[in-house]
This record gives sequence, structure tokens and C-alpha cells, in this order.
Amino acid sequence: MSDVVLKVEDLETGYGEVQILWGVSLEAKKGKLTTIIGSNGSGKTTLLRAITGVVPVWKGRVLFKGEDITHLPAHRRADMGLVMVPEGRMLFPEMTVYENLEMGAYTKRARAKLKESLDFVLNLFPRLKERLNQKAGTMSGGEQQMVALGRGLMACPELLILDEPSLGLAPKLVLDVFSVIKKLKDEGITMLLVEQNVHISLMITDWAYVMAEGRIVMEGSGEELEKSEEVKKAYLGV
Amino acid sequence: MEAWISAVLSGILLGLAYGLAAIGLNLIWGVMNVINLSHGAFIALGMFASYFIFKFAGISPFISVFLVLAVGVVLGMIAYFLALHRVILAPELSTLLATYSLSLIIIGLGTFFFTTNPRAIDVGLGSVKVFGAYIPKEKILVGIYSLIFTLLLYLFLYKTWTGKAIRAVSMNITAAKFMGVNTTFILSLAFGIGIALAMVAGALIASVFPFTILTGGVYELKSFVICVLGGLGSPLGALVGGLIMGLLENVLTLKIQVGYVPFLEFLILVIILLVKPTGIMGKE
Ligand SMILES: Nc1ncnc2c1ncn2[C@@H]1O[C@H](COP(=O)(O)OP(=O)(O)OP(=O)(O)O)[C@@H](O)[C@H]1O
Ligand SMILES: [Mg+2]
Repeated sequence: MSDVVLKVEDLETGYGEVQILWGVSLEAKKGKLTTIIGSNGSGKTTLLRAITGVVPVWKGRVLFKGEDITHLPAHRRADMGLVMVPEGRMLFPEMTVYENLEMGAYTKRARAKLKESLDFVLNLFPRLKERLNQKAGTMSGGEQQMVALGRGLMACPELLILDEPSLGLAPKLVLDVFSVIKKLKDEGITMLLVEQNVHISLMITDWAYVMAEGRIVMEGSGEELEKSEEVKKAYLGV
Repeated sequence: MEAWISAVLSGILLGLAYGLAAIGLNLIWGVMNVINLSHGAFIALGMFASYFIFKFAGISPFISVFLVLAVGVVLGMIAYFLALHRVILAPELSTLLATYSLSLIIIGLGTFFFTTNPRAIDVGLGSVKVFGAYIPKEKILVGIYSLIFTLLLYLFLYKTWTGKAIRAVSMNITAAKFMGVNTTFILSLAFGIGIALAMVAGALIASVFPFTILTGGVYELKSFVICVLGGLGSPLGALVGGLIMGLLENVLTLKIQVGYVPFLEFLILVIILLVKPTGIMGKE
């Protein structure tokens, strides 16, 4: 099998009559961290929704582990190991932290490894250990993000998609999130990251795409993009 | 004095059954954001199911109720796919109309086949003497069964994977999809369970009171009042609301005519909506 876990080909979609994506193609390789940057409203979340199956694809294809999943329902994609940590965390607020983590391991394949995954997650986020019985909705933003990441990891992802995991966090916590992402990368977890913190993201990523107005306008290694004049001007404010 | 004891005990026992019915309504609202206007029709269906099984097979309602539960889940799931699935994402008015049509169909067919003559199930278990008051054993069983079904529902929702998935869907349906939950199945199951609880409550109540196909409407109103009383989306609240409702109804009728009860229930509904719209146990 090739090392391409996710392949998106000429994807077009939108909401109602309004087209948002105009032929997006990208790849995420096994064991690598792939990042998408782009300004607000450029269609990053929409792209991730199409990949995970919560908005229908109009045109183009989504291939996961070599299989065409373009028209597969969202829950079947999750079964296959396509795991999403959504923008805004989307925890189950009335459930305890433990139950949220448990829900992460809902699929058959993840259920079988629930204990190991839980150990892994609590090792990564020791602070969650004392909070297991707290309702997720009552936690601080930073803690909620840990639960959201933990819940994603409980699913034994073959591809972990992270939509702006540092959104709305204090600078110190943003760094924490990125150090976790770095750790996961070192563990060999394949990730697709969407981020607004362009500088740090480009520092740790293996490959990056720049999105603007529903199209991929540039791609390259983190280093290349960071040196690029356009990226500097548009996103790094230099 | 005996009259008071009897009223209080009856109130508690029947209140538990009202609570059970209301939990069915509550569950459907909480998980699907659907106000189920076919609730009463299904309560009546439960009554008739219990009645016919008793009449033709001689099986006690307290045994056949498990069959009613199972049939209710299946019937509710079928009803979901027929009437609700296509409009579940549409504005609330559409789902309201969908469940209302469901109710009209059931009541229309029911009136045609069963007529509106009153029926009753006489299980004939006799009474027991409690603190000097005679309480029919049926009423006691109704209370116990309602408690057990409530407990079973609680265990199901909090201790099983499927139950947790139902709760997850009620809190964030998109997130539930990301977890791998088949949300279409879960929505239909939640509707099925809500309908089954309505039918079970109907089947139990039918062992105590006479009924027609139209009786469900009375209990539907009770369920709505109980949900508002206890706070929509709060199953525990529904149980407490049911107890309050049962007690009020039974104690009040010592002093006033039965015919005023629906009026008083409606009055309570309006007052609560004015004073504390989130319900006694509801969140702000
Ligand atoms: N549910 C929706 N219905 C209609 N339009 C939507 C919906 N969600 C997003 N849009 C529109 O689609 C466009 C792209 O939005 P999207 O959320 O994909 O952007 P994004 O790149 O993720 O932005 P951000 O960085 O702010 O998260 C925006 O113009 C937005 O208004
Ligand atoms: Mg976004």
C-alpha cells in the first residue's frame, strides 16, 4: 500500500446554492503532519466537513486508505479510523470527562483497545486524571481542548484531523497544544491540522497547504512556505 | 382520614405512571427536538394493546406489558422512518405537523375499528389494606412497574454504549457522528423508546381506569404539564413532575369535581410558564 492515507481530488462543495470549495486537491501521508493554513472564511472547516462526511461532496473524490469514501456516511468513515477533533471542541457538555473519552472509543475497533487508549491519553494529559468525573461543560477552555484531543485519540485514529485546536486559548496554552501535537507526531500518528497560528504550525509541519477563497493556492514544506514572500505578507504580518 | 391516605397513595402510584409517560415525551424532545403530538395516540394504542391481549388471550397487562414495550419500540422506529426522517432537519413546524398527522391517522383508524365506546380491563386482583385504606393491587403494580421501567431506562441511558450514544446525540449530533455513531439509527431508536414508554404507560393505566381511543389526549396534556413542571429535557424532573401531578389530581378530587381537573392542569401549565419557564428542576 502507498503511504498516502488521505487523498482529496478536485473537491467541490458548499452550502445550499453557495459554492465554497472550487476544486481542492491535497494529500496526507502516513506518519506525517500535514497542515492547512488560510485566512478566516477561506473554507478550511468546510473542507474538513466534506472529508469527514458531514457535508455532501458535489464533485471530486475523497480517498481514505485507498478506498473511495466520497459518499460514505460520516459514522462509517469514523469506523475506518478517520477521526475529527472539530473546531470549537464540540464536547458532550452534560457528560463527564470520562464519558466523553469513552465516546471517543465508540467504534468497534477502538472499543477493543479502550483501556490502553485511556492510559495513553491520561499519560499525555495527567491533569484529566483528577477531573474524570467532572461534567465536561463546566471545564475551562484549555481543559476542554485537552478532553477534545483526548477523545480524538481514544478513537485509535489512522488519520487525526485537528480543526484549529489552539483557537481561543491563552498564549501559554497554545504552546501546550502545539507541544502535544509535536509529541503525537513523534509517536507516528498521521495528522491533518488546520491552524491560524501560522508561524508555529509551519515550524513543526512536514507539509503545508495554503488555502484562499476555496482553493489551494500554494503548497510546500514548512520551511519553504515560511520563506515565501506571499505567506510572509499575508499570514505572518512581516 | 382513610380517604386522604387513599388519595395520597393513589396519587403517588399513578403519578409514577404519568411520570413514565412524560419521560417518553421528554426523551423525544431532548434527543430529537421534536414535540411529539402523537404521544397521546400512542398511549391509547398501548391501552388497546393491553386490552385485546387480555380479552383474547387472557394474559394479564402486567405480563403483556413487556410485549407492548417491544412492539412499541419497533412501531415507533417504523413511525420515525415513515413520518419524521425526511423532515427531521426541517424547521420545528414540520416535525410538529408530522407527529400531528401521525396522531390523526392513529385516532382516525382507532375510532373506525375500535369505536369510541369505553372499555376497561378488569384484572381482578383485589385490594390490600394500607394504613386503613383499601388500595387496588393493580394500582400498586402500576406504581412499581413504572418505577422499574424508569430505572431500566436510566440504566440503559447511562450504562450501555447505545444509551450513551443516545445521550451524545441529544447533546451534539455532529460530534456524535464524528465518534462513529449511526445517528439515523439512534434518532429512530430514541423515537421508538419514547413511543414505547408512552404505550407502556397506557397499558399500565388501562388496568386501573376505563378508556377509549380518545383518552390518550387527556394523558398527553398531563405529560406536557409534567414536562413543563419538571423541566423539558430532564428525565428526573419528569418523574418528580409526575408525582406532583398524580398527587394534585387525586387529592384535589376529594374536594372538587373530576371534570375540573384538566382545567386545573392547564392552569398549572400556564402559571409555571409565566413564573419559571424552565421548570422546577430545569436549568436556567
Ligand atoms: N453551515 C453553513 N451554512 C452556510 N454557509 C456556511 C456554513 N458554514 C460556513 N459557511 C460559509 O462558508 C465559508 C467558509 O467557511 P469555513 O468555516 O469553511 O471557513 P474556515 O476557513 O474554516 O474559517 P475559520 O478560519 O474562520 O474557521 C464562509 O464564507 C462561511 O460563511
Ligand atoms: Mg474553520
